[in-house]
Amino acid sequence: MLVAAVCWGFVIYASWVGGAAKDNQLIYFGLLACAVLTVVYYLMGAVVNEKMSTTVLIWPVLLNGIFQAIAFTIVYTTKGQKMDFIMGMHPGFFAAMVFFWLGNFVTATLAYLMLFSSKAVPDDEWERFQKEIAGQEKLH
Amino acid sequence: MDEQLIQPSPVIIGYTIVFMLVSIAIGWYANKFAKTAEGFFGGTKMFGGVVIGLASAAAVMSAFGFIGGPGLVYKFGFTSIWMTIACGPGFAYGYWVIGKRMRAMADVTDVATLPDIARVRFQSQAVRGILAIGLCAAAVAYLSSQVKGGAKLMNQMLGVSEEWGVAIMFGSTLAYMLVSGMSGSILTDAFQGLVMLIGVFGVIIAYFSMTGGDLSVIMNSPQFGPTFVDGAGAMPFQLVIAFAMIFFIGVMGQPTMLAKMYSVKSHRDLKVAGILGGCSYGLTSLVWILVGYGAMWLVATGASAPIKDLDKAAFLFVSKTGGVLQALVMAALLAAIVSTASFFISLASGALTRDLAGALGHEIPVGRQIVIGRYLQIVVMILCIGFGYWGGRAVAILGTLGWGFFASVTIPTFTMGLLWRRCSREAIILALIFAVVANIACPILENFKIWRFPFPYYLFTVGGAVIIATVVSFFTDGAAGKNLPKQMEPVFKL
Repeated sequence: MLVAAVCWGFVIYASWVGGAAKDNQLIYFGLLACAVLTVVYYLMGAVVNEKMSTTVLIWPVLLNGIFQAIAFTIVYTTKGQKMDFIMGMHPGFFAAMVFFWLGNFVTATLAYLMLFSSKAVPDDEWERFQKEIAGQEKLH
Repeated sequence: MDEQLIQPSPVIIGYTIVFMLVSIAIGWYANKFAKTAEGFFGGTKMFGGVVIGLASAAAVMSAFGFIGGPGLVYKFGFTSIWMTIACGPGFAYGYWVIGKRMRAMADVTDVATLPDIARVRFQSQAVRGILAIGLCAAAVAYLSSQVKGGAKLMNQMLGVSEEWGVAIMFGSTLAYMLVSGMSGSILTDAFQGLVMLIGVFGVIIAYFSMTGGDLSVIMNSPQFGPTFVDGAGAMPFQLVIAFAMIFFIGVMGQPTMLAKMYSVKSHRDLKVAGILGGCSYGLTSLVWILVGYGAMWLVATGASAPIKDLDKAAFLFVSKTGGVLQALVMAALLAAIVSTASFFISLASGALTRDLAGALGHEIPVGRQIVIGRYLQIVVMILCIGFGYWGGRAVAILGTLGWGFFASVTIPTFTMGLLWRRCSREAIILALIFAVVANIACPILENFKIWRFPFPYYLFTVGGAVIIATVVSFFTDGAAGKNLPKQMEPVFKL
């Protein structure tokens, strides 16, 4: 959580100082901090019984941050430029749609579909949880 | 009355009437799920993944996405699209991060509302009360800001006056909300989600048949240019940070999604809910993108004159489509407004009936909660309509409360509270106070031109609340660490 708080702090700083000074490079670093922040929350939430498998760590968690970083980098480097289109889209538009939108779908939605029963919410872990709470009174 | 861009046809009027009648019928059917406080205010553990997935997408996608979003695209290009492309995949991300723990809380305690979970996690009526005030205020403010949009839509669809439009739209919504509360909201939202998806296919067909899918006309147009077709758009670059961040991580802070996580029958339903919700929202976000660029294309090619009122961009595009497509798309717009409205009416009435009263030491007997909740739904609705119409500047100020406000009170409370044992009661109370005060103060300061951040203020309020909750948690230990209620331990091991 400390890392998340530091990332939030840097994101606000980059937006504030970078926005006021029109320093697009600082704003770009703020965007990269966003990618780190999403990975931090992902790391904390995708654990099962306080452990994370290597599979989940690579895909979806780290890959999610990588896709976001690629999208932000291309958008930053192509911003406001007249360029040849890729599949009817400006390269920055293309990067946002493919690496951010589709990339996030692959590393969140598709991963949830593929890994739900084995890595996200395994039945045996849920049953263990049910057994643990069965012996206790409801919390009020 | 506004300029009539859409001519109300028998197809549009007929489809609208059928849509409303089916919504009312489903809402009344849902009464069988609303016999208890948990069912009426929360729909707790009652629905399958398909219903919850569609309902989540419908409730999250509001009038802003279908009317305001295309207007922003028309005016600024890609910048605002970051909100919607972040939000779709953010659904499953949110389910990965806190879905199972939110659902688990419904087994650990009796849950009807979000503040119920907060009270139990932090063992605090203060947390419950502040959260209830925050959720209620934001829900009323947000709903009020939708009233005029809804009125304009009904005016365009049916040709009735705005006053009659409001009466028809919100009257029919109330007709089923009074009967079935949140359960009715969830079931009708699922139906309305389907209506929205049908409308999306109409938009896709219309956009590609109209434009051919090539944006180079816009890039080469003297009225627009490359900044309108790149990946950053014409708004200041730092807005991409706020939009991409708050709308990706912030989805899991939206009550429209959070409250659905404990409404699934079993833990297995989380899978379909997360996937279908995200995919459905992802499809509906095409309306935001394609309608906005479609309107821009019409102007860039000279097929239409430039528009000044950004809310007209969506109607401009729809006016160029055929009769049946118009009916499909307009009904989708209506569904977007009604589904969000029904959820927020239920959220606000639940927060007042169950949580605020309880937090103040006047726990209403469970048997009477539903009756009082029904009265308060009417009060909330009247308040929203009155405020929306006659609130003047206050609506402009408080209408910005919404996504960012919700994220700033819920991310510390639920995301941090359910992921981090060390997150303490004192920290959350301070974070909530900061969030409520800052979210009201910032738009007032901006509106009166006293102070303005060079970025959307909610980035500051969400980040500030998280930072406060983190720092204070290191120095306090109420309901945290070794003081965490032992019944909570299994949740943290999930």
